[in-house]
Amino acid sequence: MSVEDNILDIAHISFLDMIKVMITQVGAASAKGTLMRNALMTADSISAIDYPSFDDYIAAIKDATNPIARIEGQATYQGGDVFGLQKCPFAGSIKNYNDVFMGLPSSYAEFTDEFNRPGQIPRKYRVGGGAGVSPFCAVHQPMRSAFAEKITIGGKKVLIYQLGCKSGSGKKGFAQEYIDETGVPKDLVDKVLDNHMCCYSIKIQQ
Amino acid sequence: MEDAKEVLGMFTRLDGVSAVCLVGRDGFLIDSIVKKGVDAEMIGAIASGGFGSSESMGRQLEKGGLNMTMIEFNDGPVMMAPVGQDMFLVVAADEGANLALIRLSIRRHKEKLAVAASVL
Repeated sequence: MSVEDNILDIAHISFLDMIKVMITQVGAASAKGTLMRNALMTADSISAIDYPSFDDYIAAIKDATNPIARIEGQATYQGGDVFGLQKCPFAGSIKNYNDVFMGLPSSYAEFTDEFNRPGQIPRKYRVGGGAGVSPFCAVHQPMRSAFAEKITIGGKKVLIYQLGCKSGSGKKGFAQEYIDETGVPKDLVDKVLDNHMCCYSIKIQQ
Repeated sequence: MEDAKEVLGMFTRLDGVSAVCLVGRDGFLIDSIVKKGVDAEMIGAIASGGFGSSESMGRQLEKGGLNMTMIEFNDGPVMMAPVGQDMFLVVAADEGANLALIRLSIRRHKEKLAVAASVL
C-alpha cells in the first residue's frame, strides 16, 4: 500500500455524508429527486454527438471520448446490445467513506428502495425498477440515460435501459420490466454481473 | 372522471389562488396551473424539500402523519398537502385569500386528485 492510498478524499466523504443528511432532513423521496435532477441537469449541459456506426460508438468508448465513457469509465460490449461496466464510478467514493466509517449509512437502504419504486421519471429514463443497489445509482443511471439522449448513431436516436447492477457486497439487483422490454435474457444479465458492477442495454431507434 | 388538470382548476377558481401544482414527493412536477412566467418545475423541486422537511420534523417530534403545511409570506400563503402515497399539492394564494375555503377544498378534492393523477 502506497502513502497515497492512506490519504482520504474529503470531497467524497462529504458528498456521501451530504446524501445521508438530505435523507434525514427532507426524506428519501426528496433526496432522490434532488440527486436525479442534478444528474439530468449535468447531462443536459453536454453537446450532441453523432457516431456514423455502432462500431464507431464502441471505438469511442475504448478511447474514452464517448461522453458516457467519460463519466463512468470504459464499459465493455457483451454482444446483443448489452454492455457491462467493470467498476462502479463511485467505487472510490465508497472506499473512502468505508475507510473512515466502516460501512455506508443505514439510511441508504431507504433511499435505494425509493429509487427502485415505480415512478414516472425512473420509467422515462428506464432506470431503477430493481436495478438500484445504492443511492449512487440515482446519480449514475439517469445521467447515463440522459447522456444517451444527446447521442445518435447513424443519425438515429438511442435509448439506454438499465438492466441490472451489483453492490459492493455482491448483491445483484435486476430491473425485470426493462429486461422484459428489451428482450435481453435475464441469465445473460446475471452472467454479465458476475464480472461487472453494472449492466445496461443500448437500443438504436428505427 | 375528471383529469388532474380539471381537479387543479377547482383550486384556481377559488378567489385569491394564484398557482397550484401537483408534485411527486421526489419533486418532479406532475401537473400545474400557474401564471405565465412562473417556473412550475422549479416550484416542484423546491417545494419537495419543504414538504419533506416538514414530514421529517413531524417524525422527529413524533407528531404522526402530515396533513397540511402553510407558510405565510408578506404577499400571501403557500399551502402543501399530501395527495395519495407519492404526491403532494402546492397551493399558492394572494394575501387576504379565504384560507378556510382553500383548506376545505384541499380536503375535499385530494382523493379525487390522487385518483386522477394515478391514471396519467
